[in-house]
Order: sequence, then C-alpha cells, then structure tokens
Amino acid sequence: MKKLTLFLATIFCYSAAFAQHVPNPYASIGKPAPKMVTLSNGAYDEFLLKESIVLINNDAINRKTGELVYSIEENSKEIEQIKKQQEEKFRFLSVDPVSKSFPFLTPYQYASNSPIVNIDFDGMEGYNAAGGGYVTSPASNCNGCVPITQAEYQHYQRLYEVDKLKGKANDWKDLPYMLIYKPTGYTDYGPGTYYSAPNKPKLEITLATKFEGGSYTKILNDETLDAQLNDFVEQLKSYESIPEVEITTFTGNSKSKSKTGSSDDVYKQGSNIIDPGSKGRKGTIGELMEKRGDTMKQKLMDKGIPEDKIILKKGTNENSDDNRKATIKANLK
Amino acid sequence: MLDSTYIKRTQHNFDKAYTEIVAMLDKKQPLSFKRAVFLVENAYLNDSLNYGLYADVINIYKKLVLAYTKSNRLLNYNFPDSVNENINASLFRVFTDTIKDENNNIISLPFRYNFEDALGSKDYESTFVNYLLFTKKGNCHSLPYLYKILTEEFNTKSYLALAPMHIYIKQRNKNIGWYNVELTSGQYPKDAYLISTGYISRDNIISGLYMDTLSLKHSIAMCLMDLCQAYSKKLNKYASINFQLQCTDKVLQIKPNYLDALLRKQRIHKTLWLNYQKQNNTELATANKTTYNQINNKLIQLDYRDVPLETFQKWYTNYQQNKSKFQNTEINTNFKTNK
Repeated sequence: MKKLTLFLATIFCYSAAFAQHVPNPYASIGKPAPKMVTLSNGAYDEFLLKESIVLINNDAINRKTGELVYSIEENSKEIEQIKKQQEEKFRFLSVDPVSKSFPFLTPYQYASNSPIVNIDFDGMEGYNAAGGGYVTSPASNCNGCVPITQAEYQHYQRLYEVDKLKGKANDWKDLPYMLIYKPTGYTDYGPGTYYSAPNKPKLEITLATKFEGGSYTKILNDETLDAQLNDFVEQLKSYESIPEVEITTFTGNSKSKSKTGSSDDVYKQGSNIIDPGSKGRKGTIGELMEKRGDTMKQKLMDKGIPEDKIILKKGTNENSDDNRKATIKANLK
Repeated sequence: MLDSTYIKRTQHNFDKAYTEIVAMLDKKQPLSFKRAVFLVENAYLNDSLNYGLYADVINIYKKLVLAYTKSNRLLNYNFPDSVNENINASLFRVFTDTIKDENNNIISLPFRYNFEDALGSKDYESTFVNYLLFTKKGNCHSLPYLYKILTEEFNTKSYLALAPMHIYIKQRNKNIGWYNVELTSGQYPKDAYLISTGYISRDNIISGLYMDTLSLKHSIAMCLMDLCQAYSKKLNKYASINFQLQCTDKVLQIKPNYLDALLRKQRIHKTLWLNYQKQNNTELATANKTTYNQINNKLIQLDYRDVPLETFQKWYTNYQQNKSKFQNTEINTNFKTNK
C-alpha cells in the first residue's frame, strides 16, 4: 500500500510537471509549440549557454555590460511567466528540417555555420554564394554544377542497398541502370559527390557491379528510368541548340582493376567475379550492354532527340589504369 | 505585527547561535557539524530544543548502524578500507531500507522523501534534521546533513556537494574512487546524470560553484548561511540587515563562491542602494550599487543561472521514474548475513 501511494504520488508529480512548460513562441496567435531538438529529447529543461541576459534574484542583468536591464517585482504572480518568456526569446522558431542528416552541425545554425561564405535561401543547408552548390557537396567548387537533392541521392542509395541485401545486386541480369551526368572538366571529387552539370551532357549506361558511393549520381530501376530520361531530355532541350549526347556502355566502374585493361575481359572486383563474356539467359553481358545502349538510343530518339546528335560509344574505360599508363607513356615520348 | 519583546528574544537567540558558530570557524572551539546544525534549528525554534535529546537520538542511529555492520558484511570487497566501506554501506542501508532483527521484527523504517513540502515552503521546520529524526521525513537539505553528521561520528569521511537547488553527498573508496550518494531517492547516481539533467554547465563545475566537495569548515559555514536564511524566514521584514550582512560576509570570507551567500548579499545591497537613493544619500547609494554590481559580475563569472521551479520538480520526479538508468552499478551493495 505504501509503495502504491508513493507510486501514485510520483505519477502525479510527474504528470503535473510535464503538463506544463513547453516554451511556445506562437502562443499569442493560438498555434501549438514547435518541435525542438534537445539533448534529452524533451525529458528535461535544458538551457542555452551564454545567454545575453541572466536572471539574478529577479533582476535581469546584461551579461556583457553587467548592468541592470529590468527587475521583476518581488511578489508579482508573473515571475514564473516572465522567466519562461525569457527562455523563449532565445529559442529558434523551428528546427532545421535537415538537421538529422548533419550530425556534425548543431540544429541551431544558419547556413552551415559559415554565414559569410554561404547563404541560406531555402532553410536547408548552406549554399555557396560565390560558386553555387550546397556547401556539404564537394561539387560546390564546380562552376555551373546544379545539385540534386541529398534526399534523392540517398533514396537511390537505399534502393541499391536493399537490392544488395537481397543478393540481387550481384546478379547482372537484375542490375539497375545508372545515369551519370558529368560536368565539363570532370574531376573526381571523391565519395559523396552528387550533382548534375548540363554543360556538356553525357549519358552513360553502366552496370552497378559495386556501389562505391562515388561518382554515381542516380541508380535507376526500369520503372523510374523513363521518368529520369524525360528529365534528361528536358535538360537537353533547355539549350539553345541541342548538344551532342554520348551514350557509353561499359561494364565496370573506374575503380575496377582490370588485368588486361579491357573491360570486356574477365576481371575481379572484391569477391564478385563478373565475366562479360559469360553467358546469361539473354546472352553475354557485352551483348546485353550493347542492347541496352541501342534501346537507350531508341528511347532518346522517340523523345525527339535527332539521331545525328546521339553518339553510341562502346565501353572503354577512360580512367582505367592501363589507359592512364598509356597516356603517361605517350606524354613522355 | 510582531511583538517587540519577541523580536528582541529571537534576535538574542540567533546572536547566541551566531557567536558559537563563528567561534568554531575562528578555531576558538572544536569544529562540530552536529552542534552547528543543532544551533541553527534551536535558534529558529525559540531555544526550545534539547541538545542532549538530539544527541541521544543520533546515538541510537549510530548504534543501529554499528549493530548492522557487526551482523552483516559486504561481499567481495577486498580493499584496505573495507571497515569504513562496510560502515558506509550499512549507513546507507539504514537510511534507505527497513531494518529487521532475527525474528523479523521491524526495528527501523527508512527515511522518506517529503513530497508534501519538498522545499519547506509551507513549513520551514520540515527542512530540519530534528524534524527528520522524529518524523522520518526529509528533503535534500536534512537527509544529507544527517548522513554527514553520522559519518562524522564514525569518522568515515563524507563530503557535502552542491547542485542547483540541491545538496548531495560525495564519498570516496579505494575500489572505484569518488562516487555520489543521493539520499532523497536512495541511489548512487552517476556524475553524467547530475550534469545532463541538473541544470549544471561546464563553467559551473570549473568555477567550483557546483559538484565540488565541501570540507568540514565549509559545511559549518553553510550552517551559518542556514542560520541567516532561518533568521530572515523567522522575522521577515523585521529582520536586521546588519545581522544578515554579518553572516554573509563571514561565509564569503571562508567560501568566496558560496552561491546562497552571494545571492543574499546581492539582494541586501540592492535594497540598501534603493533605500539610500530615496533618501537622497548619493554617497552610500553609489557605494552599495558598486558592491551590487560586483556581486552580479562575480555570479556571471561563475556562470550562475536561475533554475525555474518547474525544472526542479521535473528533476526529482523524473529521477524517481528512471532510477535504473542513472544508477552507478560499480558500487557493491551486497551483504552477507553472519549467522
């Protein structure tokens, strides 16, 4: 019985305490309090460091000048309310919607904490005011790059991860298409780059043999491929005259180690051995890629891109080790 | 309206307590936390308490703890300070658990937290150790005080430590080093819990405002501040400002960053400043204003912040709810009964 009464007492205190005091700056216009990000997730009141005004014995003192700003009357009923308002003044009105994606930044920051270099025009992460591009994307150094949203990028990444878990990603028949928009003077910005640069459009079709998190922009399944192609074509049509479109089909990414230098040979990649000459149900992988290239060309033509603008390239990997060596040798001569 | 003779008598009582505590602090008399606590409570209760009776009741608890340590011993504690640690663990058990004899007769009940009047706002007496001894209900003031008194009796060291609107105990053993004893809920909380939920900032700890151990002399200085608090509670607007200033100055002489003293001194100087301003006594007004500003600056340096009452309520109720989360599991509390 004693335990029960204690329990009830604590429950009462608990509910009484928690029913009150969620600072609400919208109270005057009758809106509910906004969501807040705190250390204890709302379980405890937390304070902000170095507030400009400190309450000492109901006297509000300016922290910097040490001067008395105002004082609350000793016996007034409004003391608690005024204290609350005091706290509300220092709160942000809403939580940064992308704060969860940036654990290294505080949820209470402006323009990724670099307000001189960046602007924050949409309330998301900081946007480089000079070069363009979101600050968290290394491609912000690339002039003229148009970023895709990080959410989009993560969506496709997740799709791929799911496929990988199911064991599908290792099966070349079910591998998704990928589109890579490369900017002019393309340089590898390393993992985490995701952008589109329509200066010189290139359409590359590849097999996602291994997801490196690197230069792949979008991983597409067949259903969304069409929609994505439409976007691409729209991008192309926004130019004054439709530029040339390169369709490259190759079977590996630049990081694959090829012994002979040719992507049509058997190469090893981690534990996954993919043999472009190996026969699947629909033929060899090389044949499949060629077919895919053809269908892609057909699709682009259906969407109104003239045939002479479409260049179909067979898969040579520009960045492969042997090619690089060859260029170095050529330069030495 | 208070009777003038009543005011004189209470002033006399408080003066008597003040002189004795100050004598302790000036090394004219041996330091005794037990005596200092009694003096404060006796002064508030119009000199009506009996020191002999008070000491006797504390003695009963002392005997109870010793009897418990004799019949039980800590399991798996093989360090040189095992005797002390055994006493500390028994003391904690007596504070927080029901003690029974061989025939399962209840000898002693645990001390309980006073939920009805946690801050002593209804009845100031409920924050007293005497109230705790006779009603078994206490708060974060009386419970650690009694614990400190008993550890002083056993000569096993314990230290009072401060948190916003809270007092708790810090102790040390050779096994795990420093640990916290929280008597209001009967737990050993971790430091991280106190910091994250207790409105304590990093600067508070660095400046020694909170979570620092208090020596015996500092603890007695705290009693002097309690005396000042009790005095102003007792006489309200008839309280002499000089007496309060005497107390705060003495306390700040010993512990310059004691928060309660700083806050009270700040309030006193503000009233003095405003009063002199009304009387057009600019010299004294500016003098008081400068000390007022000095104290404010000091409090800002210590990174003091006001704790809303609701936060305090949340703190102690939430602690009751999530005890297991904040428990320091390194402390050995397993006893083996000798038969």
